[in-house]
Amino acid sequence: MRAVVIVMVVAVTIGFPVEGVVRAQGMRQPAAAVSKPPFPLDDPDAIAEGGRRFSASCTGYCHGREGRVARAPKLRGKTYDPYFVYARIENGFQGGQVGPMPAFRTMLAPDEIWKIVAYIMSLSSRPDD
Amino acid sequence: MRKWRSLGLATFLSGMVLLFAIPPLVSGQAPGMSRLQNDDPNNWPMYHRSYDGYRFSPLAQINKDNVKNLTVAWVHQPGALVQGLEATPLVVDGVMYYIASYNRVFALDAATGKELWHFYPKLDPVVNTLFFQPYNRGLAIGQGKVFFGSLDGRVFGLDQKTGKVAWEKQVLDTKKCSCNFTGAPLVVKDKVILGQTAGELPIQGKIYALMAASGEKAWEFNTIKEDPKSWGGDSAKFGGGGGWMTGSYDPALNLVYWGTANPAPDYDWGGARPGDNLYTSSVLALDADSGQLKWHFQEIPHDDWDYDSGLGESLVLDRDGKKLLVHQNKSGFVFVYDRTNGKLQNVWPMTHTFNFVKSIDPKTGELIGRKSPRLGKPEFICPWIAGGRSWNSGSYNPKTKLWYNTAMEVCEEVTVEKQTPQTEPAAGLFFGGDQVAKHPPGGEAYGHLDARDPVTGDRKWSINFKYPPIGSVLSTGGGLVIHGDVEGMVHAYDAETGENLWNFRTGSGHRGGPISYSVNGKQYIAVPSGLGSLVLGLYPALWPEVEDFPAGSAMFVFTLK
Repeated sequence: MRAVVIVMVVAVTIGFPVEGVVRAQGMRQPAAAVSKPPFPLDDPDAIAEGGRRFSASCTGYCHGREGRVARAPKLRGKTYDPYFVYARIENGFQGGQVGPMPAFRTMLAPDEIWKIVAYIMSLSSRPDD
Repeated sequence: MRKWRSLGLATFLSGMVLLFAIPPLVSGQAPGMSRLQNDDPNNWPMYHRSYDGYRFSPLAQINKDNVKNLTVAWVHQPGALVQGLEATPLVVDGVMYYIASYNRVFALDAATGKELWHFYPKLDPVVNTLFFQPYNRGLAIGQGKVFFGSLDGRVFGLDQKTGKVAWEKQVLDTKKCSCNFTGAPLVVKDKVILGQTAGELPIQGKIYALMAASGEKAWEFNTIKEDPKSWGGDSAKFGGGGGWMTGSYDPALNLVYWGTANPAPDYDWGGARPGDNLYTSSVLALDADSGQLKWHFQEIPHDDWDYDSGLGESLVLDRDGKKLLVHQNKSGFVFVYDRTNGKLQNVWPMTHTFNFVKSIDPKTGELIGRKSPRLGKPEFICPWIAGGRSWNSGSYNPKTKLWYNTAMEVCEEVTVEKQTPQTEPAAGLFFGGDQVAKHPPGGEAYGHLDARDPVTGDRKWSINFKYPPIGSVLSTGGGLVIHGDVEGMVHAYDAETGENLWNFRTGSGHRGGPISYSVNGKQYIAVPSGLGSLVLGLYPALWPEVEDFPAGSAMFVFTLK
């Protein structure tokens, strides 16, 4: 519940400048500006590859292994809008109290981002252990 | 405290006599070896206060007897609390200079906290894409300028009086390398020396020296040695390294001592980077004028754990006629060298929870009985990736001859995965696996603050903390050890016994470096408060409540009532 609240708060505030010198890039509106997934988000191969990429991008420091509890929002056992997740990975998030999430737009191609989205969506059905 | 009030000026003057009676030089050091370019006991003019890396203030007005009377003199808030406040402030001639997140730089009246100037650089939006941001650990001062390396790869020289930009140089191609500067520079004679982030990136990390007057590059040192025996295949191209924290300097030898970061990828799945991977996870002795390598010692050959020698201080210490250098890396082992030639004198562990080796040979430095993470299979490793200690620094008190330092007894489970290094269009993180924190076998993870002999490791006292502390330590001529914890409490301890003498809750945890200084005969203790840090992201796996510990960013300054 707490993570959902965080996401809601973030979603409301993200459009406003949070720092005077480095401004958030602004969230794209879901569905309107973000490309659609090029494959079904429940595709097992996409989930597996997205999981590998997720792990390689410093899960330990941020979202925790397999999205378990961490300083950044917990992902495991939570339900997120896939377009929101895509935009968050692409644009990152500057601000909040916890710390910034890097924007991965220069490091990941849209297909790679969608695979990570598929993986994160798959975590929603996994027990929050 | 009552005496201070009742005796007034007479006591103040006698206190000043005592204050200045404290020898400014460390006893036992070679005659003529200056610990500072300008060794004024009232100042804290560089990251570790002195070139020897001690973080020791000789000031003694605040001492064991009166520390209970400390009160808040002023508080300054930088208005940027993302990733807390990781810096160590500087004080020169009554002015405090410090840097906060997003490279916000402030000059304050050190007696009142009144702002004299601030400088908020317009940072390139590429900063938003970086892993190492938006914190900064500190400034450097020299030749009438304030220096810092920026989140977007520039180095700035600001006019010390006005905060106006005297010069700025784009040193790193941050849009391409995803690397930047987060550590405090070190001013040596006419040069500003600093190192870049690179340890988790498929790039080659370097240490740079710029001319303090102009910002022109004087020299650079590539921490990735171009040697196919040391780096098999094309792995050197992606070798990481760098030197992201602040080194020490011996004026007599004209050598700068700098620790280097871990190789990339952090974890080797077998064949990722064949060889010992010089000069990563090493200590370098560089000629301050030319950057020429005089000697090196690789503390973690072919680092399989991200045990990174880039962190923290190098103690420049003379004992029994020997010129020593004391340095540690994240493995939790402390290495003692002859600093004239790099010959190893001793190795000792500051943690008792380790299994990555059975031992380290104190004569040769050989890692005996290595246990490395494996491809695709979780491996239980101690210490964790945050280290036996993080990048926060300890403090050496030349009066007690003790090194006050923090340590972490925490393990992890590592799983290595193959990863292709990404360099286009920008460098991507290159970890080669992930990890999750674990409690040590048979007990709970914890941390401690120790008072030890820095050469032998003999422990005089120790204080345990539930949450491993990640703030730097200050010791003073008044016999005090000052240290802030993760829960937001700053403590003063008796340097001889470890007795807890004073506590104050700042409201957010501690990651920065406390200092002491004096203005117009009055001693102050400044404590940066504000919880943040990449390392903190590892804590909730063991202590879920840490997820809710409040962030913050404020400079608390204390003095006697």
